[in-house]
Amino acid sequence: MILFLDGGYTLAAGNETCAEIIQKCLQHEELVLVKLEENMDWNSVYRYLEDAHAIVLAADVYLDSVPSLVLRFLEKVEQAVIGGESIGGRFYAILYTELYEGEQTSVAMDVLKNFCVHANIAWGRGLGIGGNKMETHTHKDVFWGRRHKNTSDYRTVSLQEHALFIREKIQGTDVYIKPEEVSRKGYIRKMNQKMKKSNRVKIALN
Amino acid sequence: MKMIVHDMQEESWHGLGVKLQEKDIVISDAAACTGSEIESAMGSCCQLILISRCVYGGFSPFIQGVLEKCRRHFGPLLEMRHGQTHYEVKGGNKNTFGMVCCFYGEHITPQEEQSARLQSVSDGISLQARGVKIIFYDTIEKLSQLKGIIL
Repeated sequence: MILFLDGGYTLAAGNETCAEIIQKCLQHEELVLVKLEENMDWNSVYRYLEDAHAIVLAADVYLDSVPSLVLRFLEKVEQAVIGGESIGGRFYAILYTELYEGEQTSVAMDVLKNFCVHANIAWGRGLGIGGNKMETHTHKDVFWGRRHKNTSDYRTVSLQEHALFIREKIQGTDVYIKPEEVSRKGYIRKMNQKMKKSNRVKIALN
Repeated sequence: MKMIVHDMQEESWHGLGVKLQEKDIVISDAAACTGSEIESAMGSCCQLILISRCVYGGFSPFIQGVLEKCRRHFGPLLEMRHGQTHYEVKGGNKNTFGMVCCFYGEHITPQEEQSARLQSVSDGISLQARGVKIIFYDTIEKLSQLKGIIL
């Protein structure tokens, strides 16, 4: 069983969610999804943590850290390990940032690695995804005159690759990605235009 | 005006004997602030002091929670700084306020110290601080040495 911890990650609208991509690659292995919240059923969380062959944490990064909610969860897990719980599964992380460079999640990744050392959990692999505000492009099919979703989302391949490491429970080098099809300047321009447009709509509605 | 955010017990905090001026703002578990209060203080302070337990080489959940409330301190637009994308900062104290990140805790490993340093510098860049001072103490009692650093 693979335990997928949802630490409040977001994907741009129109994409397959991260958990779905991983589930597809797992073949027949069960994927249990747990959303991290203030009030959780800790007994079942501990049972899942004990039974899981791999633990996957997906979270957004803000100011170089995972959310405070995730930090509280990790501290509680460490306390449980000190209290006698044993976690045998490897730990994999998927961190998202709206900033262009996936490397901007590397400090948060280090925090998760330090947690693994404290909780005596084996580190698997980290995937840091930058440019997470990028939406899947739709383009007009000239021949049929219909709109189709472009399936070559820069995140999908990296998520699929990450899922293979998770499925095989092997360790790998951390990977940081960015939307290569757009330059840094182009990304900033695009995101700022989008933001200004949505602000204009908000003002008009008010 | 200085803004101090700490995650200490009130007793330990008062034990430090930090001299406060009328306009200074202290945010702690016992003196919580709303997001807009934090934003306005952050945008006008001359010194931002974060006193945090070192948790896995980063800030404690409380301090991180306060930083999360500052989202509106950043403008919605992105800009390029130091060769990387960052959110534009709205505050009028851009590049003028100093930031002090003070981590305390026993058994802080070299790896944790390194990531805490990286996080502090990186946050200083994101918030557009003039400079960042990073200090580590292995006991809470030693935090009294901060008195010489806080303005």
